[in-house]
Amino acid sequence: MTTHHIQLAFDLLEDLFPDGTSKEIASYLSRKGPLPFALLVRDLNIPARNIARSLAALTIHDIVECQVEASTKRVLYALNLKRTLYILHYSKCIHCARQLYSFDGELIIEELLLNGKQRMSTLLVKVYERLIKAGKDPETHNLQSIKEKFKTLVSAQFLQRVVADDAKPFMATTVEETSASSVQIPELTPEAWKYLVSNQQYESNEPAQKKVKTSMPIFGDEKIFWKVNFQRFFAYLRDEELIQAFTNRIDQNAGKIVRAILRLAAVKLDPSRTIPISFIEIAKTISNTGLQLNDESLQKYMNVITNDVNNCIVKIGDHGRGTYEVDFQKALRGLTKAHIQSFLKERYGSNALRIYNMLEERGCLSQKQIEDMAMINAKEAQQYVYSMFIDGMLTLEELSKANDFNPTRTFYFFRVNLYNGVLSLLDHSYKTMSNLMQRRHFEKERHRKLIDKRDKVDAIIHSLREQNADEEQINEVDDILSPVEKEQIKKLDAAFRKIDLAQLQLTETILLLELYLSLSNTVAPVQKKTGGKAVAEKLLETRAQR
Amino acid sequence: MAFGRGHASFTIDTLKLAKDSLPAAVTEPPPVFPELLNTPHPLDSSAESTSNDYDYKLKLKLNFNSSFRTLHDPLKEDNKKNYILNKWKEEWLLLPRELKLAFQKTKNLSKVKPNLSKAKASSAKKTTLNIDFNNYEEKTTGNDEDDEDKDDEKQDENTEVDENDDEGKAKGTEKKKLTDNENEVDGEIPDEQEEEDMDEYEAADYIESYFDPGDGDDFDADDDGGDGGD
Repeated sequence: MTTHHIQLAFDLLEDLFPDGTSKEIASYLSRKGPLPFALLVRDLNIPARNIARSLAALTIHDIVECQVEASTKRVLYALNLKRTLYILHYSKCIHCARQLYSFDGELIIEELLLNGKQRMSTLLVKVYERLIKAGKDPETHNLQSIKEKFKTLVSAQFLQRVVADDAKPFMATTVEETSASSVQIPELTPEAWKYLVSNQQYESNEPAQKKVKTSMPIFGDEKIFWKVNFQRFFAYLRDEELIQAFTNRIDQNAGKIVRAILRLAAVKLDPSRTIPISFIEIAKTISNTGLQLNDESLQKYMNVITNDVNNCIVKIGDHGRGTYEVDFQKALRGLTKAHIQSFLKERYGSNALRIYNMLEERGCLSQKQIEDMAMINAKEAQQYVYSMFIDGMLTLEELSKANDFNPTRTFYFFRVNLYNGVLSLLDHSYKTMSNLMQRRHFEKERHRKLIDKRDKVDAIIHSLREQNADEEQINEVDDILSPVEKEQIKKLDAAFRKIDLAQLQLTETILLLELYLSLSNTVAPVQKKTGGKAVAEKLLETRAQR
Repeated sequence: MAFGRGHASFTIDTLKLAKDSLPAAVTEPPPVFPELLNTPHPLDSSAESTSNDYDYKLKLKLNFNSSFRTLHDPLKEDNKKNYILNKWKEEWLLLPRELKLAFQKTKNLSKVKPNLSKAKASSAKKTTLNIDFNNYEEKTTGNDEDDEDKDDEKQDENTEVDENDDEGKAKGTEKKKLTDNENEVDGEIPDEQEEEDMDEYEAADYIESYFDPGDGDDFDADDDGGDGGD
């Protein structure tokens, strides 16, 4: 939990929740740990009602968790930092849903993300209304089809069920759907279904007539809520990255083969590896997808894939004409290594990258050995090594010949540490993301008048167009903005677009790095602030001055 | 050599330092951003990467953000789009009860207008007793007094513990008036429910009334001047 990490979480909350109370609550909770409601009311100078409203909204979204303190039976509210950062990945999840399940699926996921948790009945109604508003044909996109999409989403585990337990009257428990338990979609009672369908008919056929006011029927799923399963989305995104990597490295057929393997291996006993899959199954799936590959060429492809440097898809046995397994830990390791390497190349140059790769092959080397082996002059080599060390990519190990750590009689070895490097790169990314958001906010505030003016003009033009006004009137309104202002607006739009694109690309990097950290099981080594690092920094400083 | 009182006890000459080991003289303020050593790669615009489809993702993100903000905007609470917390009924199941109570407790207060002319009110008040309950709320909202509000808070939440629907809120305010004006009911209703839920909102209550001058702390205390209190 670095400063930048926490700061980014607050920026995200401030961005989404327009009043400042949510951010205040979050910062106070992160400082003091879990607190009961009364203490929050006392310590923050915000009326209790606003605090209650913000807390309720945050809890529904799982950003704040409720725990019951055993001794006093009070409810404590704790901030869930990881969940706050998932806000970054919302648009990616919606995009995934769009690709997999078309417009209906996208709307379902979007509605769920907007509301945190929802019942299926309300969700169906809302999505239906949105579809109609977006101009889709009510025949093809009726409630039944939306419900079918919902079912597929649940069976693919993209949605999780949340049940309000009667035993704990105010806590919601997420139901873990294992493969054994069948996923139950709540069946709506027939009268509820009739109500919904009749509503739908009224909407499409007779919008002008008055609707008969029937009392709201009981829908039959009063206590079952649904929420988005982020882990499943991340798993899907990770698979996509892997497929993309193989497509780039070998060719498109290899990508399709890997996709088939991953689909077969959907059931995982262990989060980092898949179950073994035999060659015969792969061949069958491939022929099902329509890819024309005979067994021999498929065998050749498998050879190439398994001989890949990263060793993520390995052959573990020979039964079934070859049994293969995917090792996600190694796969993610390879992907993040690529990110780190490109980072180093851009930051310090290809020579530094050469040193890094060499160190990784050789294990540990001292400074002199690095210079000799990489064939780079001493001054530059020292500069690269110490810069990488400060950035966290390399770690220093001291091995003394004597009992006392006399500097003349100890070896100093540098080692590549991927975990450390990822941590520091992730921290950089968080800070960058924070900066981008703040910059955007700053630019918006600075040009607020101009933006408001432009928005008003656009609204007027839009309404004029709807009323089919003359072109002259539209041109008149257009002229409210002087050419200078138009130039400014153009520049501003370009700037905003740049910032937004940068944010999008950055979230992809952040996602990958976070996935790697969650799967790798190394403990972060303790970083010493004194000693080697301080010396290295001082050395770089003096070098820069000269 | 002069020392103390704003004079350094040594000068540069006496230090015998090498000439270039002193920090350089500052001629201008430090740069706002650190220097850019390498040119960064250009961002992937949609023209170059059709597979990534950044344009669409960008649109999704901006749409989502703006709809989220309108949903949670406290200033637009009556707006049709912003319906959360106004019409939440089932979602309260998932949340601790104290939040719901705290939210609804003060909600009615915001609709109640303070009465500025106290003198007029006390005489007019008596005539508003014993009327239909349908018109009750409207007539008496104009006559509410400030110091009565705090008392109302307590009774409001007590009566609302059982009411879970919107009609209940109207009834709740009516009951509140009843207990103010007809003191017989005062003792019973608040006490019963008070014992059940002591833990959860007792703390919130206590905190809220912490800085009050003691007005309306006791449920049982009858208001001075019986009908609505001055």
